[in-house]
Amino acid sequence: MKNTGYFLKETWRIFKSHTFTNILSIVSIGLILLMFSLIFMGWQFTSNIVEIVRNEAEIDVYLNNSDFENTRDSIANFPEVREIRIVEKEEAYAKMEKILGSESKVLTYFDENPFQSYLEIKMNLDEVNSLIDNIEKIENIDYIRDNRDILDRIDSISKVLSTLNHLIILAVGITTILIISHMIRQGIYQFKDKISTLNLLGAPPLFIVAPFILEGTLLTVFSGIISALASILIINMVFGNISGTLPFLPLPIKNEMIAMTIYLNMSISFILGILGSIFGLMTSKN
Amino acid sequence: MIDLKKITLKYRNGTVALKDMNIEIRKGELVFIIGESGSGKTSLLKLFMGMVVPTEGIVMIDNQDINKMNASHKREVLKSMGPIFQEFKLMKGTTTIENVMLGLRFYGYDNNYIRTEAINTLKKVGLSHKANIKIEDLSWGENQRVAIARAIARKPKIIIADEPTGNLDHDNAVNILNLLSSLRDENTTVIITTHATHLIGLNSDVRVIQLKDGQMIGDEKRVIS
Ligand SMILES: Nc1ncnc2c1ncn2[C@@H]1O[C@H](COP(=O)(O)OP(=O)(O)O)[C@@H](O)[C@H]1O
Ligand SMILES: [Mg+2]
Repeated sequence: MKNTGYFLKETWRIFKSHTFTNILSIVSIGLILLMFSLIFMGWQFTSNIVEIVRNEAEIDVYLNNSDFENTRDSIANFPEVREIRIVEKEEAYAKMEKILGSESKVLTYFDENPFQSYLEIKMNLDEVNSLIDNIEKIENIDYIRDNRDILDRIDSISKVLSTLNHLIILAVGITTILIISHMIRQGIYQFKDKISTLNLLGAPPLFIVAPFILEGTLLTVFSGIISALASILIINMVFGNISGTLPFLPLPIKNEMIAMTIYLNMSISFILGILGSIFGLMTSKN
Repeated sequence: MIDLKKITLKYRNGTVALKDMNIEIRKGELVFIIGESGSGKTSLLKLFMGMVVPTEGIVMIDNQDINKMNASHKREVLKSMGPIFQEFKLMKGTTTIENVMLGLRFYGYDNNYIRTEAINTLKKVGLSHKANIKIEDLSWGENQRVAIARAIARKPKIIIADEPTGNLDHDNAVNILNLLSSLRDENTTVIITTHATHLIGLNSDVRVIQLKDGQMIGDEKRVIS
């Protein structure tokens, strides 16, 4: 590209012709993209949790006697069961100790182990209901603990976020394209004499519009950078807080999430910038 | 090269700027178009460039109707022209040399060549010392010479100059006219409007077309030795 230097200078000139509104639109598009970023991350978090828990769906079965081996064997016959084992009360104690972490001191206030032995059954989330129906028919069952409520709730949050995510993508797209195309039209109007002179000199259309497309694209890419930086900050904060207070919550991998956010912000802002500029060019009279 | 056939040009407000005009201009000719202000000189040049469409008649450039060409053909024709507009049409906010370089940017030349050509042409019009001054900080006469430099640097087949000496003092005017007419040596067609008729005599082998109220009232070849 022999004219790259010229195009960049022109782009800078177009930018300077409306410095204030251009900075305002960078900031507002940046905020719009950040909103999208946040929704997207929320969706990632919850769907990650749902995914993990869905495969690891677990019910705990407590008995009113100690006939663990036989009950285990009869439950193991149900086709839904992926894994079943006996959790002795010592293990139950150790598990809770681990979950409580630094708070596990409270357990020492008990004289005896307060936990019971139970059967731990693993299966797919979708099969929990039918399995529970079957297990309930067995006589010596005292109580079945399942986490379906929580799972269902997380699942529906994830669905809402997913829908929101798509709506936001649409809103972000339309708003950004409208803002950018407006900036481009404004620039074209400002430079209309220049454009008509270039036409008279025989300049090809691409030569004439290149600085405007560059301008629109750079504006949104700057917004994308702002949004990506803010997102990284937020990811760091969220990971710090969650892993401090809820250590057992399954989190997505932090670096993957940061990479994903950067990639998402940059590619979306780039594409929207080009689309917005082209839309602006198409809708201006020249 | 340029052939106007039975041209009438009527502007939207009803003004008839040109009436029933036939002109043929051949390659390598030096043509002066003279006439009072409002006689139709600028309108005639605009026809050559397809900037206005005649109400009647056709404008042929190299045997093609300029108003029937497709966009890219017309661009090629415009690229072969070096227009010097009466109101200059320079780019404010950019420097002298940037303006001259702009006229050369879409021929596929590399940047160094464009810069060198621009500097050489600015030397010819006596403005190389103002290469890096912004257009709006130059005098009218200097603006005019930048516009001339932008046109000649393109090494066009046709120079179309609308009152190129209008804002110049005598010495500069003589200089510019000599420069423009010397382009004929490279077989360039040169068309100049002017009302500085006293300067025409300085050139040899010229054609003078005289307009009055949109009509041609004179077309003579002058051979001055
Ligand atoms: N765009 C226009 N619309 C209407 N009338 C115009 C326009 N341009 C020029 N004219 C009129 O056409 C006539 C010829 O103008 P012009 O070609 O500019 O003459 P010159 O260049 O010889 O001064 C004048 O009467 C002028 O007022
Ligand atoms: Mg005129």
